[in-house]
Amino acid sequence: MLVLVLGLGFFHAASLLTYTATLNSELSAQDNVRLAERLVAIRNALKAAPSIERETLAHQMSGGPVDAHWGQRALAVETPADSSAKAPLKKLMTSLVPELTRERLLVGTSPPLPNGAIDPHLTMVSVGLGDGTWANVSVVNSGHLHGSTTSIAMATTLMAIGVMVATWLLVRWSTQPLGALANAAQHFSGSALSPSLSETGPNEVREAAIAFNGMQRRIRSLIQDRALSLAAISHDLKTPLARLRFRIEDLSDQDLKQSIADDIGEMEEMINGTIAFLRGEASPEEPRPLQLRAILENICFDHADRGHAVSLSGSGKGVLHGQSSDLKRAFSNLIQNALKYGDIARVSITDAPGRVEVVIEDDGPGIPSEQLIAVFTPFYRVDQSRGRETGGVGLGLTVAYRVVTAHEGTIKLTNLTPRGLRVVVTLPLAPTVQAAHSS
Amino acid sequence: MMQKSQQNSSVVPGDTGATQVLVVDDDRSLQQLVAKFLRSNGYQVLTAQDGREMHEYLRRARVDLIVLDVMLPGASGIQLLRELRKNSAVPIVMLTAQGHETDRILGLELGADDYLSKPFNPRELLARIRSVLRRTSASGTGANSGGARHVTFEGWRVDTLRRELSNPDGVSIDLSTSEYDLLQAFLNAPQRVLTREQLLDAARNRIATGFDRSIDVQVSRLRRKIDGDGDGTDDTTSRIKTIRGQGYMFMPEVIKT
Repeated sequence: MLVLVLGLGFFHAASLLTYTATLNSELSAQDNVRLAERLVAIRNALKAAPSIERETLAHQMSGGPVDAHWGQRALAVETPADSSAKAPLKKLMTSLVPELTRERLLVGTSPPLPNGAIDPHLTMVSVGLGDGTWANVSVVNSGHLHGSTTSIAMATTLMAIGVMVATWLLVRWSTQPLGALANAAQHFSGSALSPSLSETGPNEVREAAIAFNGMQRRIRSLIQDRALSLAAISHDLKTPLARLRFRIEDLSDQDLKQSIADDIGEMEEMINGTIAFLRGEASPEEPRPLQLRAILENICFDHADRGHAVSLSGSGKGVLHGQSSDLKRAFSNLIQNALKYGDIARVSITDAPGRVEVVIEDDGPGIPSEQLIAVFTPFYRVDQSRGRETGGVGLGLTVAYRVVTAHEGTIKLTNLTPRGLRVVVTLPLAPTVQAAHSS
Repeated sequence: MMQKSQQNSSVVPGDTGATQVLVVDDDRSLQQLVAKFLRSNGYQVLTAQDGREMHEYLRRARVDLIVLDVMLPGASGIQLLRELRKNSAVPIVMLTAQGHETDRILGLELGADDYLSKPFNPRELLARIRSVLRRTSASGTGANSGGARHVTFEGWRVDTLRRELSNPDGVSIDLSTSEYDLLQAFLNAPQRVLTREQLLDAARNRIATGFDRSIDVQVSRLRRKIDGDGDGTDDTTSRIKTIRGQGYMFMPEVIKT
């Protein structure tokens, strides 16, 4: 947009400048020729006329910028400053009537006024008629005659501004739907929450919007199909696991029983994690105002009760609009990760204007900086060789990322020095509840 | 060792015969495993594969509790539950493989007394069955048809079905299982002193957490949530007062709707 305005402006200024420059030189050249012809005509007419009629004739031949008189004296004063500027006119006239060089020709200004000033707008030409009398012709300077070039500049500039404003409005009107399209594409999450685009605007944009809405529908149905088939699979997997739980009840070897129970627990966790991932953002839960702090307290206390090193600090309440079970899973995953890789989880919650910030820190090895983004991809595992066997399927961060972005929040990982990982989650606070609090 | 002593007291107090449980699940292996496990814990067990068999048993025999799988051939467990609740208050524990919160809530809203996700722990099933039987024998009907759906105190609101607490601004405050059980005990006996033993008993209705802290810790966590500000230790302003040497008392007036 800016490029367009700048380009147009530059182009306009440049063309206007060249135009006025050529126009001016053209006009002055033209004027000089015409003026020379006219002056010569006046001279010829006066020369031919009897002395008595000369003054009347001179008057008759005046008009426009030209005012002619007949007199006994030459009135024009040639000054050195003038000579160069007025030389072309003089030269033209002598080329028309060569004998003018003999009959005297003065091209200059009118005589100085009593106060010594010279009218700069007037050119005075005195032409000798060969009998000692003179034709004195005052000419209003041509520069001031077509001083209208400035008004031409004004008019065209106004026009250019008009064109620019119209173009800007037009461009904006035609690109606005594109912006909406980009916005919708960026926020499309596959859930029913993503609204369809309005199918308006210029033809091409409307077609793009229709195509986009169609794509949105197809993706949504794909996601739904996937969730449905997954529900079937999960049912099929969970029933045998439930059977296993009952079967090991009869085992007399308590160690074996416990290790099988642990394995079943791990499998269950993997199934649940996969389901949470595949369910994606198509969560069936209605979003509602909730307090994030209470959720974090429950997760932290639960882990603390199991003997893990978890602490919760900060005074933030984090009242936001969201899906409780999804947020529980997201923060559970993050805190579990901290405990799994860093043996400790320091959790803090802080309310900021319009948002809540949750920071989770551990003392683990962190994540190689080049993998800090990649860890969010599904089934991604940080370099096996450096980590110990920690279980899981590599969906914890993926699910956390999904849940946080579905709540229009952000999640960021940074390595701490000398060691440890910091996870910063920012979520928008519920605006209505905020208002209710402040009123 | 504690598990053993609990197993011996599985028969509901006041019941003359052994409690009869009907297990409805189309997976015959799981059905038999559940039946065997419950029998070994002192229950009489009937098994059905679908709704048709279930209705047959209900006509022929006395059934004290139904363990009902959600996914069944023909009529689904949810459909069967809806039909049953039209004319029966028999306690029902639902089993599901879905395990999402909304499924649980749907089941509870339709009148199930409890809800378990596969693959559940056998002892957890036992604990839930006991808990439901204790609740229903106390009220004489299915637990859900008994108590009030909504309970309010000083603008706070508890949905007893969804086990959810909302503050006066309508903001949902997540409670842990034992915190909710504690709160429910308080709401059932407002402005009365509850001993630690009584509270412990209430909080042990479920064994889901398995790592219960002392009652004092649980109470201070609950306080932190329902007192708004503060760290759960300030007794003077708390809605739950410590009664020295006796226990705790829930101060606000409770309204059941």
